[in-house]
Amino acid sequence: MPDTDSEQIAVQLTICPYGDMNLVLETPAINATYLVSSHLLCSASPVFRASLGPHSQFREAAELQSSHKLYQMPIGEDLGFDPTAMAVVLCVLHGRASYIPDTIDFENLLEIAIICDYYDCAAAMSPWDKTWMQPLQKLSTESGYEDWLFLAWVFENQEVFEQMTKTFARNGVKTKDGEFGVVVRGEVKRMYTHLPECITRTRPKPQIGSIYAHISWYHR
Amino acid sequence: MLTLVGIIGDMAAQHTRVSGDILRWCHEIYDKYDNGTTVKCVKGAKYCDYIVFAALHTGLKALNLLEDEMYERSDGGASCTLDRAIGGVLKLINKTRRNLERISIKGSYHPDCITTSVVPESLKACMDNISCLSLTSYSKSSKQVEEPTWNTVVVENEGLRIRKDDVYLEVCPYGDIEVVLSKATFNATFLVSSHALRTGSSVFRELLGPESAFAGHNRGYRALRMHAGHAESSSHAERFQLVVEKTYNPTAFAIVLYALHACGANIPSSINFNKLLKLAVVCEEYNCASVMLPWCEKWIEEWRWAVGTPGYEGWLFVAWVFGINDIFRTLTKVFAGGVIAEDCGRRVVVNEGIQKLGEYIPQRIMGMCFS
Repeated sequence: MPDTDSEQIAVQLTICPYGDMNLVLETPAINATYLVSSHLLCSASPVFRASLGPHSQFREAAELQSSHKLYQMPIGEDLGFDPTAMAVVLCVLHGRASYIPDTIDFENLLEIAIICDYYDCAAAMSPWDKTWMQPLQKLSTESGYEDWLFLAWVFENQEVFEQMTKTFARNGVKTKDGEFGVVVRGEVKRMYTHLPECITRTRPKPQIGSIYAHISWYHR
Repeated sequence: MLTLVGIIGDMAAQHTRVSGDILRWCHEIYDKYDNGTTVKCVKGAKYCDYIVFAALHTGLKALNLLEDEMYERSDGGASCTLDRAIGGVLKLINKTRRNLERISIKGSYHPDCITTSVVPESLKACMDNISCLSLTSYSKSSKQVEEPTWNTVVVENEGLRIRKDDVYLEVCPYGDIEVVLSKATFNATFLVSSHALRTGSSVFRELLGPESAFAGHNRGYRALRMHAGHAESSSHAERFQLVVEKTYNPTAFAIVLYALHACGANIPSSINFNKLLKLAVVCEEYNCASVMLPWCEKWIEEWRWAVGTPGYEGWLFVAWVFGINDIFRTLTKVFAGGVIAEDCGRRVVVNEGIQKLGEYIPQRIMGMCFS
């Protein structure tokens, strides 16, 4: 692949050596090409199934089936996926256990969750998701880790999800910019934009007064 | 027989509450079809309780429940029906104190979904079959009237083995080839992706890959390519079939295929030792132990206590295949003191008793021992 931008690094990753297509993820810093198998993507993710599956009406499916060279499928730049996280997700989907890290820090796991949420393939992350979440679970109660809610939602960690929603239901507020925030130790923190949509929608209008009444009780 | 099921099913649907009525209808049906010894129930797990109930009350001798829509739903809905089915059967057998000579429930289900409260522990241990389960309640002799208890309900483990029907499992719904495991009594066919097999296993790579030594072979890559070309030109595309002639355990084989396709949800979180051994055989044969890595760790911890226990000599093989150094070292030390050759077989002295080491010994080790 010709590299037009001089600052951009081109990386080729062979996730599945016998794959039938390339996924191309372009970010300002990196141009990553992943060699993958459409079979496994379709099996694991309804989103890929819709665009690449044998019964799909999309242009991508037709191109995949008709092309004699390796089919190149671009991933939208606007989705803002992290190239490393993408590689990890693809490795898990292809069962490349030896390339998958045992521990992942919170920020990177969040990137992975974003990708899994988009492609609806969190179920296929088993059992790695549990391995990764285990050491991070204790952080979920700490300040600065409000995004744990998103992780718990995507990877269906019932325990953490319940506990965090309970906390947030007591302390949730709307910030000045009209976003969803949460009160932690007297300060209003912005919730990450990746808050599951259906949660923000169903939440009743926060009653600021009553919430502040609880603050002193909350931070003990 | 299908009509009979239809009737019971309809009745059950209309009158779900009144068991007395059902009983009456069952008798009516029994009068009509008094030669009916077998009820085949297709897609009937919804009314399973009633059918079992009916069967018990009308003195039917055998009951086959087939649930074939089970696998399509992974949200637990379908599994619940089977759960209910098994639970219902066991409860009813216990409650009514009647004998059914044979109940077989066939359905693909997730092993984790069986309710622990209903199914006794001994049954649960046997329930890691992938796609078929037979529950059988035997009366031991015709003269001696023996009331069935939990103990007489026997799960025929390896349910796949005793069934004559072929089994079809979609490991990768969008796969391109079928792997056929042919056994004496039936064929198990797995729909898989050749990409995944070739990525995870060097043996499949040899067999199906373009650089393979079998490339000219009719069964390997050339056949696959020829088939692909053929399928493109003809309108009806039948999939390429790779026939495995060795007699692997179908459940273990299925687990390995699931692991190759990274379908973690279908892989049991606990496994009995015998199955672990069978699994190791498949992994060794296809050189794909590394794909089992994430699940292996759990299973190994589960069975670590058995290392060195008489009856668990197969651990040496498991440790070898999955590369568990400490266990391998322990066992080779134990065995090194006590290997004796006998009847051209291998036996090993463990705890002063002679135990057969079995065929599960890596060939390379055998070579070293007896050279």
